[in-house]
Amino acid sequence: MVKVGTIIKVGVVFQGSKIIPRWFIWESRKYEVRSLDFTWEESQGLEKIIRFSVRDGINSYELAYNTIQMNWALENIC
Amino acid sequence: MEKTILHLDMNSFFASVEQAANPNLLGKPIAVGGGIKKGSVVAACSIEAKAFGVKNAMSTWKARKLCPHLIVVIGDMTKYIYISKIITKMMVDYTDLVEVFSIDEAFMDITKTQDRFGGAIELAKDIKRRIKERFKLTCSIGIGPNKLIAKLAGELQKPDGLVVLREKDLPTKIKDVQVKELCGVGRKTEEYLRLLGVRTIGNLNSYPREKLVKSFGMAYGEQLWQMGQCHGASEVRPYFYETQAKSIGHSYTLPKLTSNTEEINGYLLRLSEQVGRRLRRENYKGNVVCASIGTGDDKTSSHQKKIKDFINDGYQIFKVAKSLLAITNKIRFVSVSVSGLLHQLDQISLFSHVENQKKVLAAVDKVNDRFGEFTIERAAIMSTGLQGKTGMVPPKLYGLRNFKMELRGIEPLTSRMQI
Repeated sequence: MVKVGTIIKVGVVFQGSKIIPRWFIWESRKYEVRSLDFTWEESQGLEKIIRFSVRDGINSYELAYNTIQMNWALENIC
Repeated sequence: MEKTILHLDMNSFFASVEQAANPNLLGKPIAVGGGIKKGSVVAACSIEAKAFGVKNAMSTWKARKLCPHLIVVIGDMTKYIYISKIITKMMVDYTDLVEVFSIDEAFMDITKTQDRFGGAIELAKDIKRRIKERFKLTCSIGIGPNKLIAKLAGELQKPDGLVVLREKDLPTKIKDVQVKELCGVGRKTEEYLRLLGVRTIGNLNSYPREKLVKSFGMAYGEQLWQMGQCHGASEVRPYFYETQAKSIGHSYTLPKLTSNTEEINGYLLRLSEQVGRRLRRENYKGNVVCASIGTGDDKTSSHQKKIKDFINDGYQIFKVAKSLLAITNKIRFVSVSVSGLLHQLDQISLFSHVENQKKVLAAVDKVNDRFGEFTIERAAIMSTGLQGKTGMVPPKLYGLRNFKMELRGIEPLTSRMQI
């Protein structure tokens, strides 16, 4: 696992109450999300972070959405 | 009326979660732990790793010797706790009587509600289906007339099992099961029972009560006899019941053996601060401080002291804990706990410095509640090199009790039903 922790740009679909990441851009490269494998939540103080385990067909990535700051981060590459 | 108790046990929970979160790990031997650094242990391992002889609590070094291509994944407690909480929420859809036994195990009393869901077996299948659909995880479910038998039933078929043991089937179905499968029979008890010629539950069932009491003492001997008769507690204590804590403590296994007093004091201070934070969060104060250290040869020495004041300030706990420990050898484990607890004890002090200190702690707690743990820390931690080092402890101060506290946020079934 490689820790990244960088704010990135993510394209998502809001489907009912679900958030489905479709693509993300990291270091000027666009990665298509082929599968969303797992979602979980955690709190950091009062901030709620929703975490997504996604794959682009090769690697598995952990994306995190901070619901208060409304930003996305690429946390890890697994 | 025979009770119907259901026991749910998630299969290789931490490892299965990691495999579900990263399907590239599916079908591979993985171990969840603190990484591959020296001294780290396997907290959980996948079914594939178990096939190589890897076991929970084994050192990562030993596990890698048994299985050279073992993939070690660093555990993420927040992920496991979140999933456990969702599974508990699912269980509460069937009955209010859900008792959380550990992060990956729970009991349900479905005596009165099973008929609404087509009976115990259909209810169990429904829970298994929902967990699989939502998380791609499997669990083993045991159903029995009490908690002891329900848990035993769950142990009989792993992974992904569903076993029902009715009262009338007990003598025939479990007589050949090893006594070690009974919850409450540890390795030492098993060894001692073997010396007495008791290997199976059937042996235990026919072993004279007085001989068990003579060998194991009144309380445990009687308990073992009851277990042999398949008698166990059937009262499921719901997750939203508040229980009085007896002690609150934290421990830590150091990354390497050390006799460096400054470094050990740093860990001791961090642990004391954690204990203080939990005491304040749960509104307790205590007047007995216990500190323990473990040496490289797995010997542990513990010392405790009763003090005259009831405290919940991490630094005060640290000062007492530090005075109890004499570091002579290299150590690898340290723990701090506070007992003699009183709930909601908050006397106004005559001394202004005591009141001021309380205000400071309350302000620090408020900031850390808002922005996350360790946002504000004691300056004394700066000299230890551990400031902001959340790798030492989970970002939230988890323990089973804290986990149960969180579960209290789950609304009980009765309040959600229109009766």
